[in-house]
Amino acid sequence: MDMKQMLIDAYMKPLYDQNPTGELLERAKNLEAQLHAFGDQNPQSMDLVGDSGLRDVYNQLYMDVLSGQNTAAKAAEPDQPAWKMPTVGEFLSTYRHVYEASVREQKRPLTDQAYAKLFDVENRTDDLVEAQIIIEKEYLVLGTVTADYKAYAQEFAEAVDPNYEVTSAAMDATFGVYQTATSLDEITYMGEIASAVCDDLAVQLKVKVEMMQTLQALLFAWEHAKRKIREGEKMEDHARAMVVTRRKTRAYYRFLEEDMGITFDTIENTPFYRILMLNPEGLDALWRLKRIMHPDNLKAMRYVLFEEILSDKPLSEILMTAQPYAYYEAIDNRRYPEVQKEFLRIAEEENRDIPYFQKHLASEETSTLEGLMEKAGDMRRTIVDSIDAGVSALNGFAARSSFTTKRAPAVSAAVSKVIDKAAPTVSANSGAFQQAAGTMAKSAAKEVGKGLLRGLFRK
Amino acid sequence: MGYDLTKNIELYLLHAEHLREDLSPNQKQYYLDAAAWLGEQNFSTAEEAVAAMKQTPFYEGGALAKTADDIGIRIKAMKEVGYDDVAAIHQQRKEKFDAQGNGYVFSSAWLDDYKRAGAEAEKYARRKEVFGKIFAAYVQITGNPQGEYRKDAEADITAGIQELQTLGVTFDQLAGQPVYRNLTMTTDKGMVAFVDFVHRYLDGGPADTSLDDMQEEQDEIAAFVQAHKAELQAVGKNECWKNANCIAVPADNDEGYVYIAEKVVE
Repeated sequence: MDMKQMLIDAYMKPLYDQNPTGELLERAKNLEAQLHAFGDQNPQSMDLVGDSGLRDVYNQLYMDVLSGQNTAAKAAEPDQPAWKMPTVGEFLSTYRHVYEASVREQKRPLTDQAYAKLFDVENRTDDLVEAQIIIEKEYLVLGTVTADYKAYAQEFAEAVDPNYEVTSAAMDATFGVYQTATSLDEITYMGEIASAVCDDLAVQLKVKVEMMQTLQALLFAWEHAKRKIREGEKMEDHARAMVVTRRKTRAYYRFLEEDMGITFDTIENTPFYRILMLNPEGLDALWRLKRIMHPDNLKAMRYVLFEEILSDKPLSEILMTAQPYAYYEAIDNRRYPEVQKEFLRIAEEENRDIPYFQKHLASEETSTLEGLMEKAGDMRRTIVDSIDAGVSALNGFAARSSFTTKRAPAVSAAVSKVIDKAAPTVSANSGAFQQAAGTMAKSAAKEVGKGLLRGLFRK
Repeated sequence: MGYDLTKNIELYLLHAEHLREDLSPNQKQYYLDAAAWLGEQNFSTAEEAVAAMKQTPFYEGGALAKTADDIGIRIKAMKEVGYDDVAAIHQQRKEKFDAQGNGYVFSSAWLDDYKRAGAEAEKYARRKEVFGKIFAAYVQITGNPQGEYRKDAEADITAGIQELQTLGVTFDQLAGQPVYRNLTMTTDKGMVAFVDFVHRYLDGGPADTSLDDMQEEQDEIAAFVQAHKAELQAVGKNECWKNANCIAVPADNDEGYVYIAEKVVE
């Protein structure tokens, strides 16, 4: 694909479609030559009009061509063909152009199906307004952008632990909009806040995990020291350590309760915190299933925290009182390697019917919590970029659809110069722009979009 | 084929139905008004309809409504996330659009302003990242007050403060704004403690938590366990000190999980 030529065609088509002659035609040709020269010298540019500084020149020429200043052309061509309402096929042609130029090559089956459904409207009716009603009722344009993301979101939702915020939070905050959106504007809105939401999540998840891991570690240290004292192993050292642990745990729990608003009740009533307190280790690629300490440990932790550590009881009294709840330390994998093998086998069995896990095996990169958080961060960035791309594409579609539908009764049929004045202003797209990241679409596409709209209503 | 006005009305009403009042108020109203206007007309051809519409505000109104809502969405979104400076730029765009209409949209100022808003949003993102890093380091130090365990976290705080300087802001400026404060999830008291900690840190650093004052208590308990060794071990016989693991499976219950495959070993 000659990207430069495609970009220039997208800019120039709306001008040439107006059949400029005389001075206007010369200006158009000069502009085209300038864009070619700039493109040759700057092959990396995806915004030829903007980067070359010719935006205002382009805009002025565009408005001159569209505003009917082409008096020479009018005089020379008195017998212009009468305006006619576009056919359904002509209406859909811009979508076809986008699909053929950039979407088809991405090989996304659900998106391909969504486009096929859109194009099939031509077989369902030859009435343009009826066609637009069908498209609107069945959200066919919206579907071309959301199809794959909805499927991805659903597949991912089935594979993650909805309580485990490391993997589920970003999905809940962002992709969910694709499931329920009925308009471009909803997706635009979500796209605008998605990045900020994900940035917040990255920090907050890290802090939440840190807090629970620290409290869990302190309570483990307390229990571990008690166990060693019971077993008669280095009793004095462990007793001294309990003095330090008690001081640190009191300070840390005060920090959690007073500075972060988190009590042990909060922890027990928040599934994410509960599971973090049980030292989870993932058993699949997304940590849907997790190896954890015995869940009864939470009873023991509550007991030792309130009845021992935070209490005023002397440590000697605490050590002389039997703990009523069992605290189970984790099974040592070196001594019992068969346990982990069994757990992995069970996890694979539990996940066997979940499509995501049929495609993605457990991997080294998510074998640790740090690795999982890294991957989740990557996924959050992917989500935001996807929403951004979806919004850009939809804006283009919306420009076309709103352009055609807003001009009813025959707005769907409105055409050329008349429509020019009210050209929708959202960024439009051509196939090339759909693929580009941020910069090109938002500037160049805007000008192009207006042209694409006009292309719908050829004389 | 004859011209069916009712279909256009149906299409307009459908558009209005699909648009949210809080996000697309101008477009929603446009479609409702346009449908009402059509309902009062009696066109026999599409060409006649187009010609008539050209003489009304409806002809350009759709695009104008779309643009107005597009800007409105961005103002709303930026206020939602606390990016007040970005919202202000979009508000300026709204005012320019209200005053100039498509004249503003077709100008280079339209894209320049849009890019300016994007650049401002990037600043927020960067500052949040650094502020969050400083807070995460503070949380880590809170759990590890002794110096030997907090060197990395201290380095993060130092680097974070320096980076804020290169971004042209101070820690105190950010700590005073909800968009950064809310990132921390702290209570009001907690935010005061965080800010105070950073101030003390910048003034020379809070002292390590000394263990010296625990020496006496530690000596006492060490002597106690030495003297009551047999009794302490006897107490252990009434307790359960086994090792165990199980698998947590997500479930739709109050706890959020069911537990399977419990393994217990001595």
